Amino acid sequence: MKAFFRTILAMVREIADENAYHRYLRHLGRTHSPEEWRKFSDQRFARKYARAKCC
Amino acid sequence: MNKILGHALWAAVAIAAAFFLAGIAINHGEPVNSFWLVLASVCTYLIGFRFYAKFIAAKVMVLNDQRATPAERLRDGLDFEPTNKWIVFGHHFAAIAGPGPLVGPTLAAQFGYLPGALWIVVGCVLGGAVQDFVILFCSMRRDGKSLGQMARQEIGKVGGFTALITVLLIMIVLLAVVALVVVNALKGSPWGTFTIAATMPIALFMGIYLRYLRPGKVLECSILGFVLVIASIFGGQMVADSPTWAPWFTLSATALAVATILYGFLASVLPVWLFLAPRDYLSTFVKLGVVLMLGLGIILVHPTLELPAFTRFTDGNGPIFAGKVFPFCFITIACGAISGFHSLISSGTTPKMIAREWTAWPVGYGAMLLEGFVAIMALIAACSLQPGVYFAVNSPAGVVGSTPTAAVSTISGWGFPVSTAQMDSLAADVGEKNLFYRTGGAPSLALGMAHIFSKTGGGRAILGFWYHFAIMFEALFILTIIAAGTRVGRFMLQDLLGHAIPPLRRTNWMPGVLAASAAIVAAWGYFLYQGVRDPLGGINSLWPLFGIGNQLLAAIALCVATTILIKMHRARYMWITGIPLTWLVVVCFTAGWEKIFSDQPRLGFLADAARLQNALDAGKIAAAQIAQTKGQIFNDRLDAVVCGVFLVLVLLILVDSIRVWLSILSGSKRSKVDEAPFVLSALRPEEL
Repeated sequence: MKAFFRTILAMVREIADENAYHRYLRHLGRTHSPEEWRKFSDQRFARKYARAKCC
Repeated sequence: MNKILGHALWAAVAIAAAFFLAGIAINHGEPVNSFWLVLASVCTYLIGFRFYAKFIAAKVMVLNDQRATPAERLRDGLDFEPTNKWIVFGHHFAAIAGPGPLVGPTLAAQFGYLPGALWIVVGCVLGGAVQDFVILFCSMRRDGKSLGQMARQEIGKVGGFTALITVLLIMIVLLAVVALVVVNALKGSPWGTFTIAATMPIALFMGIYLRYLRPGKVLECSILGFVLVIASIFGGQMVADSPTWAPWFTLSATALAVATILYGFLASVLPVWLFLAPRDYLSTFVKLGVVLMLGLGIILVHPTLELPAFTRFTDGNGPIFAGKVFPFCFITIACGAISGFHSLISSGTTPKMIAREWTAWPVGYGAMLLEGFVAIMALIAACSLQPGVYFAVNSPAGVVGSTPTAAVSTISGWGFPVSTAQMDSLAADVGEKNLFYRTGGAPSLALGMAHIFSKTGGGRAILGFWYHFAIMFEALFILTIIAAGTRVGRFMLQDLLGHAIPPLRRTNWMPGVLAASAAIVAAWGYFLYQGVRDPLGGINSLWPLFGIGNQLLAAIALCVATTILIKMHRARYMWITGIPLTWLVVVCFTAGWEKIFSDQPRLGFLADAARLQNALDAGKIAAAQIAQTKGQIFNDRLDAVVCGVFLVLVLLILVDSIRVWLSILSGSKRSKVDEAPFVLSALRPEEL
């Protein structure tokens, strides 16, 4: 049950881009800061919203 | 022993699937409980997943977990990242689930519950899920390439360019038709209009919160946004009850169309972080939550299907849209059975996240089955309404009569009794003044959902809240699609025109941004305005046009998939993609031909244009109506041209694909697979 809820939470975090942000920080060896989030989200959104959304 | 038990279990599931399908198909004349439909679809989906999809995975695509996926080979911590399979599943499902599987089945319920239900179940297992799965596999083996890139690489330059133009055109029609659904749901509804208007400042607040107040706290921000949206539903009720405020939010369809067009333009030019992104987070979570709630509600309430298995409208004279059950049921329900747009998602983010090749099985095939189940739930919600109510809500004034008395008389005359008192009482229960002529599917779906939710507790007293909650949910994510779609359309247009005007390719060049956004908004805005002014409700023309476009996009995806299978020396399995492709070509070309050339004015665009032109020439049109009639004639001809262009574009790709297939199969061309080279996976389980 615990594993189930952990997976659900991870799924929700993935949809919320929070996992992607942590991966980004880990990949670049940086720590969270407002400026880092803004840099990450600018890059992320630029790619995400260049693709069609499903109907 | 375990193996025997496993076989016995699957045999039981197969028998159950056959039993429940036969039950809903044969049990005519008696009320059918929706649980039969739930069980029939679930059992069939399980069989399809376990046997058909596994066969495709093992024998046709020969998935190999030893082979490193692009997520591992090209890992960059951003797009390419090996991710847990259930997380990818959730992400993929959230990306493919849009308004299509909700609205399409609701509209197709005019034929009765059976044609739509069978198409959703069979189409999903043999068509839609296969398309999503195979395209995901193809993209995964090609470093996450998009459908357009694969079409160019595997079929040729003509295929690639045609695919790009087709997507842009379909997007324009899609944005217009979903905008029309929202406009028809909100017209004359101060409660609904206030609630949706309130989501705009809420999104702006969320954008600022996420950017400056609590950067990175997306979940926290989304929860806050959700609380505010729920508060806005209660606020909407107060607005609707206020004699001062209600008139401000009681808007005509034309005013709402203008507001939606302005919204689309602003969403396309405003910074993404400020408006689109926070709105998208919120609408995705609300969408997933409501789908879950609807599933639970149907299990708890398991309503009776009030609509018959078949209605008299299978003959083509349906009030919601004209056309016989074949081919129009199959283009009305696209998402939920087979949707071309899914191929764009399957060749987008998802292939870049898959860690093991076999994960494509639950993600590509399984997520589509879940979407099919969402479509079944929408069908149940629509069919649980009294048939008379369903038709009174969904039929345009141009078909049933322009007064409520005329409408109930026409609908009751069809054998679906309904009264004005019944409609008035229902409207009062949900906090609306009028529920007649609410074409588009959203209000009837909201009514069905509200009935199901209210039966789980609260009863009629909270019917109004649930109705507006459902309207908010539908409008919220449709408007997000409009915002995102306008932006993507703008990028595509800038890319296309950038060949002639190079600065246009810079997506941050403000004159280019403004001009391209205005062009895209003007394109779908024109179709929206046309739909709003259409005496037949707009849906009659626009939804089939969108359905044909979407299914033709699926035909393009299946052309690419079949080409790749042949190149992989799997020609003996080309029937897997060839059968759904053949079906789609037959359905879409039949529907397209009828929409253009049918001699019935309600069905054929050119016949309607000719009817109006004759009336105009004969002086039968009142002077005040002449301009509008000329506009209708132009719109009919424009719709015929758009439909014809769809067909010609897809015919081009089909002919080009068949040329490639024949040259490979006859040995005149060497079959070359453009897959990324095999690299042994070094991924450890703990890395996921």
